[in-house]
Parts: sequence; structure tokens; C-alpha cells
Amino acid sequence: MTDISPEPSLERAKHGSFRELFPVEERKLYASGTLVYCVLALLTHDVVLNWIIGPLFITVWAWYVPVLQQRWRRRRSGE
Amino acid sequence: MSWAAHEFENFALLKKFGVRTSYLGLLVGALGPDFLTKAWTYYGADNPAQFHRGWPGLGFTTSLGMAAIAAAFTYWVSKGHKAWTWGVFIGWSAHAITDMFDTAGAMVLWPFWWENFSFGAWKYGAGQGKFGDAVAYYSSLGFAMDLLALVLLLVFAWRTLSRDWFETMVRPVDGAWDWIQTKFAMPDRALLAFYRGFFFYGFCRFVSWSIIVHAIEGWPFDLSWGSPFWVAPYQPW
Repeated sequence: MTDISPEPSLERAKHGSFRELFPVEERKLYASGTLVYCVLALLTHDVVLNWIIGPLFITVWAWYVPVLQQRWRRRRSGE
Repeated sequence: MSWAAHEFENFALLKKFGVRTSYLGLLVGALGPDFLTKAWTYYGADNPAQFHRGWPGLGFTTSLGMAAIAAAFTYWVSKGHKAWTWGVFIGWSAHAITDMFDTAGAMVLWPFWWENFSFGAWKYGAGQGKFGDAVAYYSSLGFAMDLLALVLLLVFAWRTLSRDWFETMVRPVDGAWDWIQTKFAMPDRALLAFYRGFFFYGFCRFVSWSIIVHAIEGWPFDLSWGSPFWVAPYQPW
């Protein structure tokens, strides 16, 4: 996932379809983050389930997982 | 008290009020009442309900009067930023109104009326400690409250979670987003995730606690009015 995507539009914000507003790569990124965080929550109970770690977790996840994916792909392709 | 409903209602309010409110203002308002009281409610107060929602105690912090004071303070600190001021007032007020649904209720009309208003839909469970409170809340109509708030958000306000909404309706009215992005050198996708963070947290909190309470710990549901039956009715008065 990159930061390069169509310019944001007010028209799309108000009337866009689910597919237009939430690209597949973004859905995968958030679904994986949700799964990992929920598993951590089930294992640790309220250690991670608080309003500081929760929002920070998804911020860091969405920030660095695409970077790590890109590095991994580059390594696999031998660049 | 309410749990994930506080995280979900901000996005519904954002849909309703649009560019007239700052999302960050709504967030500060929604977190304000519990930020001032929650830790001591769980771990120090002799009567958590009285301390958290009553008088003598800090019950007045969960009120429309305190929302007005917080908004006035925000107006002063932000040098007249209307979107932040309305955001804090609306977020704080919504929190106070949502908290009226449990048996402790809230001093919503403080300082004009010092008694609590309560619908008594589920028992106030902070006297059980944090885990016991989670068990009580997610076994009672509190569970239904969170589920209803989530469904309403996903049906009527789901577009507020999109990048397009964030970039055209949220970010332009609040310079704090640019400041955050510059300060922490965040790419756009991380800033967007930060905006969505409390929805993510609310959703995961709802799902995880429901699984912990019912699938792992085996507590039953009691979805009757004033549930669950095993919690003593702590009162703030």
C-alpha cells in the first residue's frame, strides 16, 4: 500500500461506494491489524485493551507493515 | 458506564455535524469525563459510584454544565476555534447522556440540578474492579448498547471512516492534523490510521471483551432491564 491514490473528493466522501472508499489493500491491512490486536487482547486481557495502546497499535501497524512488506518483496525479487 | 459506545458515537456525531465540529475536539470531549476520574474509580474509591457519578465526589464532571465549562476553556485556549469548542462540548455532552443509561446515572443538569438522572438499563459495575466491570457490562444491556452504537455507525455513518471524508471534511477544519503529521513525520496512511484509531479500538474492545467474558470465562448473558443480576446496585447517592 502506498500513499499514491486518487485525490480525495468531497463528492466521493458523501456518495462513494464501499469499494471506492475502502480499497482492497487497505481492507487487508486493517483486517490483519484487527486480527493481531484481538489475539493479543485475548492473550493479555486488559494489558493491551486500553485507549492509549489501541489507537497507537493501528497507527503503527498501518505505518510500518506496508514498509516491511515492500522490503520483503524487494528482498525476494533480489533487488 | 458505557464502553465502546463512547468511541463509536464520535463518528456518528461527525456525520451529523460535519465541518462544524473538530473530530479531535469530539474525542477530547468524549474522553474528558473518564480521563478525570476512571483510574481512581477502579483502584481507590470506597464507593466508586459516588466518587465517579455522585456528590460528594467527581460526578459533576459527567454533566452538560462541565461540558460547557470544558468548551469555554477550549475556546479560551484555542483563541476562539469554533470547531474545537463545539467538538469538546458535543463530545462531552454525548458522554454524559450515554452514561445516563446505567443504574448510577449522571448529574447531567449540574450545577442547576445536583441529582442523577438514570434510565437504569444496566448495572453500574465499577465496584467490581475493571475485570468485573467488563464482565457485568458485556453480559448486560451494555453489550446491546455497544452493539447498537456499532450497527448505527456502520449503517448511517460508515463513510466518515473513509480517507475521502477525512481529507475533505475533517482535516481542513482543524490545523492540529497538519501539526501532528509534521511533528511525528507521519505518512498520510499513518495519519489516517490515527484518525480511525478509536473506531478500531472500540471495535476490538467490543469483540475481545465479548469473547473473553462469554467464550473464555463462561459468564452468561442477562439482557433484562437493570441487568446483570449478580452485580450489587451501587448508587451514587
